Amino acid sequence: MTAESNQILGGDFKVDSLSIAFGGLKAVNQFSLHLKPMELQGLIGPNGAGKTTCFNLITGVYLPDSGSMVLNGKSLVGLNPHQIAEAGIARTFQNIRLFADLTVLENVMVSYHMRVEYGYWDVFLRTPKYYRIEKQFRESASELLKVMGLENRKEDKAKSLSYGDQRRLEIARALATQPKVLLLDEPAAGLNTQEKAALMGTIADIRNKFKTTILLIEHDMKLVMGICEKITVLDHGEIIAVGTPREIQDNPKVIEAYLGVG
Amino acid sequence: MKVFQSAILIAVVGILYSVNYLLEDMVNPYVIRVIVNCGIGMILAMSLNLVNGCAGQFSLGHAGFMAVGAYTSATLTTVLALSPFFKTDVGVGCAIVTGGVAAALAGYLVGLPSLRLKGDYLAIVTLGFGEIIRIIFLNIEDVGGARGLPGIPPRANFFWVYLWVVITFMALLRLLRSSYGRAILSVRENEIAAESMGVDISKYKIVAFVVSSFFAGIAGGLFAHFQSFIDPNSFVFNKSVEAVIMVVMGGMGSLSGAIFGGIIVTLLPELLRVFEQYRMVIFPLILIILMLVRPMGLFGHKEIWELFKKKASS
Amino acid sequence: MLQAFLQNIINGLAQGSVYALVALGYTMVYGVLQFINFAHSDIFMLGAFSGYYLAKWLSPAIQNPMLLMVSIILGSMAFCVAVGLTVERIAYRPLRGAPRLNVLITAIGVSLFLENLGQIIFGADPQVFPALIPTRSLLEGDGLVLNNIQLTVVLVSLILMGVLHWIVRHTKLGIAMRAVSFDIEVANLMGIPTDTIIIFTFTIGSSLAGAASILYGLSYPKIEPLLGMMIGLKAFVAAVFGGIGSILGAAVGGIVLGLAESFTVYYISSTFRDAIAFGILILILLFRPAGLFGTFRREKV
Repeated sequence: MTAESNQILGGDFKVDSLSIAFGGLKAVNQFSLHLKPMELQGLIGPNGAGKTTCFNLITGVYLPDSGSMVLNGKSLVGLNPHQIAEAGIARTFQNIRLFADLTVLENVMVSYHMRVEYGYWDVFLRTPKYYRIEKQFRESASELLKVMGLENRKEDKAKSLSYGDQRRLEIARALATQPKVLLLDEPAAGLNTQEKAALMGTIADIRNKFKTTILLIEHDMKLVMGICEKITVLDHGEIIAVGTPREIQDNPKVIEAYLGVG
Repeated sequence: MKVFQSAILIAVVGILYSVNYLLEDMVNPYVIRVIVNCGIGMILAMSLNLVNGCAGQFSLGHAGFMAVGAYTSATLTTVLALSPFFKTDVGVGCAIVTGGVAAALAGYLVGLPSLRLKGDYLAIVTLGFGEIIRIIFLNIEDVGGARGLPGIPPRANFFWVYLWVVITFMALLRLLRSSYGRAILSVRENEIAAESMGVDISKYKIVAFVVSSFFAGIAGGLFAHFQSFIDPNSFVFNKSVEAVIMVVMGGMGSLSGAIFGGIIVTLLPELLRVFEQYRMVIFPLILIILMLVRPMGLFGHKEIWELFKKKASS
Repeated sequence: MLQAFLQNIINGLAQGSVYALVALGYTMVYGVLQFINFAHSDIFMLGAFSGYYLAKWLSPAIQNPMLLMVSIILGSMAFCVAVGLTVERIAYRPLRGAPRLNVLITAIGVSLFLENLGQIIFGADPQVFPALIPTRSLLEGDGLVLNNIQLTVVLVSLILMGVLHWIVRHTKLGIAMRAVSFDIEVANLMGIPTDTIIIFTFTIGSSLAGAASILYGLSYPKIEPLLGMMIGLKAFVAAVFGGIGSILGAAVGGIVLGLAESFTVYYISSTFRDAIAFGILILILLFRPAGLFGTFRREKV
């Protein structure tokens, strides 16, 4: 399984003019983005700018009022969240949404479900096929947890993990779906400076190791500057700037949005 | 592995058969009745546990599925009994399985609204379905209507009931320890996260309902062929509440807890017999107190054996 | 043909206004605390029995039938409030903030407790509710019947609903109650004493159930300890139909359900009377889960 995932090159993901309004309020307006294979991009903006709403639109939690999304030539608009996950987009959640009462290992193994090959009869009769595939799942989940530094917490309940470990488990679980595009929603929120730096390093490693395209939401601008190739800045639901970290840093509009100078 | 499994299976059947033989010889019919009712309670509780405990849905209409299983199987062995075959053990067994399948179909229909509803709303809709099912049987004169359906061949005994207890337990345990089971559990834990990890939550809610109602139907069929008489009053709302109490008492999501709950809820009224009429008041009081002091049920999500493991390791 | 139609409307209105009064109790508690107070139906049942005993004790003392009826209604309302507040204090308040499932199961437990207690105290056999006011036909012709009891039921219900509307719209407590049902946490932060509001909500809901139980006793003079179960379920259906949390919705839902039932009994079969409510419930939840006047909240991701 891991060998297979290494061959998949990250997805080419084009988002064009996504918009959604909630009761007349335009939460996201004309959001466009192009993620090239294996690219690591940042999506930043002040609180309430609509970053998470963009993720919810992309992953099918909300249905956009207009716009298009195309992953490797396949349109994703109108698909259910689970179909979008199958198509190759995985995400983490800003407000952690782990399967709290399942073990760390089970949390990751849920993500393998969409490629399970045994049927109900294999389950009820415990056929060799069942044992073989379960073993495969367990092994590749363990491997993944090792990468995220969680291998010795495998049998613990997810809710018993520390905050930082929970954030890592969220990433591990998303990676287990073998995504072509990985969306990370403020993965560093709530961590201390040291942990934050370490996590950013891990994210950069993940891209190379798992050959996946990454879009990273971050509230803290400085954090993403170091690792992202390209950054999109959102404010009040609209894109106010796109460019390399350096261009973004000096953009007066961005400074204004962040400092709130009117 | 295969040989080992078959050996265990044969051993279980053998043990159940001998116990059955001993019971019928040595114990009075009242005790046998209580033991068999415990078994039916266990099947009900384990099956409801899949929906209420594992999938995180809330069904309050379990008695309805039991009714479908009971009436379907009993109709096959009485009204429709085309040949003497339907009065034999094997024939009755087939009828009971057919009842389970019919209940599973009903479960599919009732599961559909669960896709749109949550919590209290779902509870009340399943309750409504349960009542509608009962009222439908009340209005079918061919199965006795309000008078009930007598003369059902009393083929379900200790052996058959407990064989089904074992089958139910094994099937549900294996389901839960599989990728499908993890998908069902993930729906309980967090629907939005489950969807985002590629779990088709609608499908697994339905799967939970269908499997659960299949076994509820089996319990109904066994009940019918043990009592040899059923009427719509056997499947009133209180019966559904009883099943919920079994699950809640044992701990939502714990299969062994459900077995425990099934036994307690069946036994308690018998044990409280000394208190005469007050037992029906004591029973809900226990439930209320349980909710106040131990809201996760006696065992929570854990299986009973896991509780011991925890103690040993720490 | 036409008479039968009109007769069904009269019967439906009388039955429906009882449902509406009970439904108000469900909808208000649901609005504030987001759970189905299953025990509400048994508070209704206890109201009917308190009316039964009050009538026994008071009828020698009070000669005027109008005065007698009013005092029984008030007495029964007071009794229901006492029971409702006790239940809230003992069973529900300790569970504030607990998972909703636990509260729901507790509510079912309380309901079973009251039902079984009722069976011990009052016996399982039905009792005959005394005729507080002699039945008089107000209108008769071509088989169409409208009697003073039906008129009383509808009028008293209307008055109570009017009072409720005034309380909720124009009193401080009523406005605070609406705030709490909009968002209990924010209301709490704004300095609204949520516990007081919850007590107030249970008081109103229970008192309406008390009044409804007497009106029910007047029109269907057979009462028994399990009487609340079906009526409670149907009233809840009425509340969902109108949109749970909406007071207007509960009133409309109750009336619609009463009418639907009376037409079902006449045109289909009386055995399907209880099924129609659930049929309506399932349809409304499938096609308009928020009910007629309700709004649905969605989970924030």
